[in-house]
Amino acid sequence: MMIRLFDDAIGRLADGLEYASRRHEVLTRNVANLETPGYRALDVTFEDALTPARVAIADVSAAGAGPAAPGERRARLVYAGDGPPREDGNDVNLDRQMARIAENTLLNHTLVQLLAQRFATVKQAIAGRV
Amino acid sequence: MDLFRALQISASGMTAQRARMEVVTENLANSDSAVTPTGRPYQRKVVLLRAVDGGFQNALNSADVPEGGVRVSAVVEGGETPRRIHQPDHPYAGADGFVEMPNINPLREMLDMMSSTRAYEANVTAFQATKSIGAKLLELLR
Repeated sequence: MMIRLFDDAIGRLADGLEYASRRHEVLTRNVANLETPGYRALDVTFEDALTPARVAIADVSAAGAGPAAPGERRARLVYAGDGPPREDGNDVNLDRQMARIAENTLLNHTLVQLLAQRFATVKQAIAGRV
Repeated sequence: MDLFRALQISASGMTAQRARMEVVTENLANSDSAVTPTGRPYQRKVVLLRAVDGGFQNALNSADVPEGGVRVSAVVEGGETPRRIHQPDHPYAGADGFVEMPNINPLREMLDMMSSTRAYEANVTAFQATKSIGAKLLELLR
């Protein structure tokens, strides 16, 4: 398979990293407010991040045109809704938050790994060596 | 940048939990203090936490805690009625021979301490996850 060196994969991976760090910030918020009365847990939906990409793929296959412009890049903040709130009105579920943090950290590491590989490919091509 | 803010938010959580822990130790240490500078027995103290929003007032008040962090809004007295102990030879005994002592429930204080310890640890874990993300990002430069 022929790899196009400067396609927008790097840009998409960078977008993914941006979402991961945004989500990470929101998850740490929830942990910091574990004991704050009335606090409601928040989350960032990834669906919104991926939907434009999916739409873009669909567009390419349908029209045979070049890749569609990426959609809106703003992440959407939603209530996590992990169950009924406690007596003090707080609904942060610590176990789920920690699981999400672990998951998000892994996602970040994966994206960085992919980006690094991509850069390595470009570097190899520039150097002209295998 | 989000990651640095995430670090600050976790730090604000740790600060708040440490404040809770301090108040618990204060309550335990003073569980037999029959007299305080006010002349009354020691009153159990409670920490009130507040989520920090992005309002203007907040920007003026606590620039160190970013939006989404947590802050100790006040430390208030619990308002329990003092325990009364019959001990006529006590220097602080009243005319009826009763001494007023603080109404501290060690079990409740211990529960508070456990929950603040766990919450602190959760914040430390989140902090470390943020650090690991940051370190991984730096690998891109290699």
